[in-house]
Amino acid sequence: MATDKNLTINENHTNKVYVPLADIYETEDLYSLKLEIPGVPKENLDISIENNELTISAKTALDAKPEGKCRYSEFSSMDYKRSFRIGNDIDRSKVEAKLENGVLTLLLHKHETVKPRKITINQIN
Amino acid sequence: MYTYNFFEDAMNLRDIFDDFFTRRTSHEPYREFPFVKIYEGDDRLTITSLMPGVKAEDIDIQLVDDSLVITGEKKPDYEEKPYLRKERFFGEFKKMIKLPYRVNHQNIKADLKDGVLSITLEKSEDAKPKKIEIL
Repeated sequence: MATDKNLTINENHTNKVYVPLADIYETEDLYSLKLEIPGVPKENLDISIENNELTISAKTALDAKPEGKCRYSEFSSMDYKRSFRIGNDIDRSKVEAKLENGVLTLLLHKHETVKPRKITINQIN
Repeated sequence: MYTYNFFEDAMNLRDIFDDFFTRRTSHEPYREFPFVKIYEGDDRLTITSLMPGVKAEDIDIQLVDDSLVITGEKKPDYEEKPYLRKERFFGEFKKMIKLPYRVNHQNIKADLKDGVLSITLEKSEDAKPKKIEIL
């Protein structure tokens, strides 16, 4: 039978998975990532690094519907997932994460060995 | 037992096309920021809106006539650093929502949590149906 998946989507309660928007900058000793994940509390957030891949997945807490019928909607309840390929210059044990106002900030520190080092020149007369 | 059904495959192909057009990143340019959702109960209206990165003091909510006006500014949090990627949007926004019924002006609640603004409005007493007794 040909069935329309879109009609049954509500019964299965499968949230759409969105790719959150990100801002990334790099300095001499770290990478900073900012991702927008509105509606996600800290405990629903999962950040992992596996095989040079940083994965951020988040489940929304907006599943609970308020009283009444939905009259108008510009967004569906969404989960988020995004992966980034990272190099060996990042220290896996030094990753800081902060969640504020629906914006996740990740600080990926670089290894000490890859940070630029100033070499002092000894003057010998 | 499994019988091959042509429509199953045809529908899968259609879903791929549908996904391509409907599934996108959270950046949806044809809608105005911030995205809202309105729930209408018998005596209560709940408006939820996604506004990541907006602080409570930068949002202004006003009740004008029979509309709710949300204005605010999403201030850029850029630092003086060399950026590899800039995907997020910043700037001022204004959104007007026409309410389906008159609301109680005194009892409006607005919460901002995890980048989601939720506004609860109550139906005003004189908008509720009133039974008139026949004497």
